[in-house]
Amino acid sequence: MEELLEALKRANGKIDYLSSNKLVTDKIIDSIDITSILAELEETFDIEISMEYIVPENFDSVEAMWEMVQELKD
Amino acid sequence: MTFIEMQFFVFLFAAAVIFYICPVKHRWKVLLGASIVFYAIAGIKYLPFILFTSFTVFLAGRKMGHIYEEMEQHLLEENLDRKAKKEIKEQAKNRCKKAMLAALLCNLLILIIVKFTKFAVNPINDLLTALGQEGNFSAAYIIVPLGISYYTFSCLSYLLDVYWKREEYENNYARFLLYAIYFPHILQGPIERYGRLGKRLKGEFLFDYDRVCAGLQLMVWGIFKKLVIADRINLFTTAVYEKGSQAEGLIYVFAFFLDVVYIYADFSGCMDIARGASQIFGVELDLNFNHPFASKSVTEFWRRWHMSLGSWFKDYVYYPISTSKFVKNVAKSCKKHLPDAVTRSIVTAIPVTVTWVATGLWHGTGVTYLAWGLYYAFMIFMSVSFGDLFHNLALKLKINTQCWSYKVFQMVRTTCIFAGGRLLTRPGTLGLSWHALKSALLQFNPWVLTDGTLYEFGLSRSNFNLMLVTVVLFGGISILQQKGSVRDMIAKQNLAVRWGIYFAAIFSILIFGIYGSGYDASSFVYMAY
Repeated sequence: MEELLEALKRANGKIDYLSSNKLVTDKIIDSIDITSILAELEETFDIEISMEYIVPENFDSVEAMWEMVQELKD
Repeated sequence: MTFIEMQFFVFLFAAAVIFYICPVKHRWKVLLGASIVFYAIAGIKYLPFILFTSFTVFLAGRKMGHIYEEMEQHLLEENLDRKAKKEIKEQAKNRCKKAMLAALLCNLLILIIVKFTKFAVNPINDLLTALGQEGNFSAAYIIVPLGISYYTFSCLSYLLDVYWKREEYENNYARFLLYAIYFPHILQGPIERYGRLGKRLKGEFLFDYDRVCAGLQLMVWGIFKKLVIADRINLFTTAVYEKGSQAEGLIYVFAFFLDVVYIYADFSGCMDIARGASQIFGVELDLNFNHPFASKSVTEFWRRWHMSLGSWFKDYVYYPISTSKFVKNVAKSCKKHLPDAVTRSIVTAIPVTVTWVATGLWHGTGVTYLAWGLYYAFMIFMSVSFGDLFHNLALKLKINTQCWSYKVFQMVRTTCIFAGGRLLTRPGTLGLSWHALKSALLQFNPWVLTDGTLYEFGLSRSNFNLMLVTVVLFGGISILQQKGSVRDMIAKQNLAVRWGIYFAAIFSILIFGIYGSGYDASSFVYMAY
């Protein structure tokens, strides 16, 4: 999880990712943030995030992103 | 037939009566029948296009659904190792890709041919003439099916969602056709997703008096915005921008900002009519505008203006490009040679530019729309890349960014950026746009406010003043709407006040609406797209 939080900070350090469970729905992160997050996650965890994973539910919280990363690593 | 013709209201009334007379389980069939009739009245020759698009996308969706079902069955088999499972998934994905691409390409091709041929007619004729042939193609023969941009985008969103396994496939073509051709959203959208509208069109459709009344009220407000506000402003701005116009200086400044109100009243008015008509049948359409002029930045503006189009381009153009191998490779090679901030800017600029150029070309195919797309790509790139810099600068200069006056400044700035975009396309050519901007900035002529010059452009003094009153009313109601539903506020009033407001709205439309021979009040701007 620490690794994920570090990657998220690199994507955009201004966002408090732990502040909400509706990061996308509440517009705390936008599409440009999501593309930065995607690039950081792919590089940090050596995974490929395809389009089917790019849905708000997978980016709404740190936990959801962590679950997605675990699923893609399996 | 458009939303503000008497024919439409007769059609709507007849469709609603038949709809509620029919047994509940058959009501969706009435909606389908009514939508086909609505489309056929607009031109029976258009029907094959929408039938083709909906059928090919439906077939491709069903094919992909079956392939994914087979895949899931295979994956349940025992003794499959990770590699075998991956192979099964890849094979299924490749088979689906073929079906998806076939449907995507043929429908995109139709859209491109229909939209671009009109603009290619003159160059083709010139080329044929230069080659010694008779160049006599005419744009008048090109069929542009009603709502082609809207229904094609709706169908393609379903196609891609099924391909990306975000959506279940539909097994019933009639149900899918209803989603594509549903008459309240066929003219100007919203560009609905199958996951939302498809489910709503499978609803219970029970009669609800309050909901029907709310739908009618929304329609009246939409018609008021279109006929009383938008069409009146349009008389003024058209006269200002027409060839040979004597407009200069402050007149152009008026036109810039009134044109912003015009496009908002016209398009949001149409959306209100569409959403209101749909509410009569118990089907909610997505919100397409959410007080865009309260936005504090251009990125926020485009999340609030024509929301269904912005979200479509974000999901089906921006994300696929920003996650493409090409952009990833560019990012990798930039990282080796350039600082992180520069790499980030380049990686942001590519999908933003492609998305906005495509959005511009969706609106129109001339050079002005290309310039419009590039203009917004630049504005959004600046906002994303230099937003922090501007914010830090404001902090250093001790500017309070939290007070209401700063927020008003941000809203005015966003409105000016939007007016700049409109200025690129509204006059017709970039030359005229440049002339208007130059005149507005360099010619100082405040006396036009008092010497009567202002009333020489399409509107008499009384009409011009009425326009200003309706614009202020529009702004006031928009502010009220942000605090809560105006319809609910009215509903809480006493009977006399309630009906007083309804009658005032209806009579205002009848008395102050812009009608008359030779004036085509029925053309909504976004219908042309």
